[in-house]
Amino acid sequence: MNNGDPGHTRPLPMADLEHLDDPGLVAALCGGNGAALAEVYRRYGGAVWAVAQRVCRRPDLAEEVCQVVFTDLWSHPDRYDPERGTLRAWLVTRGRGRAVDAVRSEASRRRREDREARLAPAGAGVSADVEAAVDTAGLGDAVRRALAGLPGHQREAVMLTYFGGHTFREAARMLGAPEGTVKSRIRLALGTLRRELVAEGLAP
Amino acid sequence: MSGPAHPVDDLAAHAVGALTADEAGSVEAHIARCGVCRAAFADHLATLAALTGDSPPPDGLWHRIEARLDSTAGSTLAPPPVPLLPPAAAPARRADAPAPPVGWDGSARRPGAAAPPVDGGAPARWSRRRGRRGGRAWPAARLAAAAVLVVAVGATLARLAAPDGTPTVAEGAESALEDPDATVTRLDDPASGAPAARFVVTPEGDAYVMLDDLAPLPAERTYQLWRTETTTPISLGVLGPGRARAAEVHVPPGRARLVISQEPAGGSPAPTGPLVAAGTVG
Repeated sequence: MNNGDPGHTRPLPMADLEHLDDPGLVAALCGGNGAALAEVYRRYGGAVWAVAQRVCRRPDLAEEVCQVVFTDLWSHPDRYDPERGTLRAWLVTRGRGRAVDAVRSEASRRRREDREARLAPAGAGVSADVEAAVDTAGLGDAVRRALAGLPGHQREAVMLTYFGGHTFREAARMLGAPEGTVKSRIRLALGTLRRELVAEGLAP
Repeated sequence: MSGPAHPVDDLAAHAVGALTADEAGSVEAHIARCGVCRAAFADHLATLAALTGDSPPPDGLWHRIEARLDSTAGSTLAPPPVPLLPPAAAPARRADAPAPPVGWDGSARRPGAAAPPVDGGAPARWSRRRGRRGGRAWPAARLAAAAVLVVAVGATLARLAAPDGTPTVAEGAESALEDPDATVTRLDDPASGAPAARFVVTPEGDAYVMLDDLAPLPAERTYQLWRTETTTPISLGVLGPGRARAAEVHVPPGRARLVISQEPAGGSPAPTGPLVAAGTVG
């Protein structure tokens, strides 16, 4: 079916779109099949929304993130490479990245406004950020169990970076740990989480 | 300066987005030439994607995405594709799982990750429309003043007249009717048995509904096509209020009971209005 030549992709009946695997669906997108984008949204819209909502913690920002992810996919479906993983994982990665950018832009805008209004920045700073990022509320039960099963340092490292949007250097400062150690903790955490979530049937 | 053969820590840090742009670039360069790390990286992303799972997006998000894709016209009042929840998982283990995912038509659906890949070569059936260009179908659909098919399970976007000379639906329907190998099925008024519409499908799979005796409806109403041989009617799309006398449809292969009902403009998730035509195809 995927003869590798997007110029020859024909429109497919919707019933066939549902049975396409991810690469086939993206090939249909490359051929300009609008129904294929709807099918991608049907499959993975909830996943993109979930990560955007989690990172942004604001529906308006999360919505904007989702719109960007899907419009980008429509404009540049060739950016997805099946060798790099599933379409779901790719879209969630894009969503998480956009969400972190959105939160940072929003925070900058607010700080500018606060400075302009001559409001003193709240002293919440580092510790509030750690707490908010490490909070597992809102995640699925099995996911929370898997995260709770991690050593605290590993959980903090992965959540501060992935959900909190911090670089490993920032995380190292926030946690008072060496930079190399933070990276190792992230690696160990991902390994443990993977085993747990695959056992739960939540990850492929 | 050489690093470890497989920079596993950097790989993990990159997966969670914790590297600077330069550092990320180095890791990406390694991933491009190392299959082991490519696989490990894919696993990391899959693990991370599983953390947030799925949540129902807000109503209307899909419409807003549609609207952004095409700036020439507003979005049609199309029933949006209903996102699936949750992802495919081993059902026995998901004690805390929400209800099984439900597609637009109410039937159980499984997302693409679990769907069997298309086997061997060609998909079930597709066709090259005569003279159709391989361009974006999306903008073409926005030019509709006539029959518009909504994106719903079992339906597709209308292939409508585009300024570049792509065949119109009317032209396609005419060709289909003239095709000696096409199959034409009458769809009759269930009450009176009188002819109401026709369904025509060519051997290549181009299919149309001709709204022969179905009168044009006011703008706030529309005709909608359903298949009903299953217990829950499945929408095959909105046919429009009938100013255009032909609509392109996609009906899955095989036997199907087709009915046409009258609905509010934009269609309904399930038939609410009178059934005005019915027939069996395939």
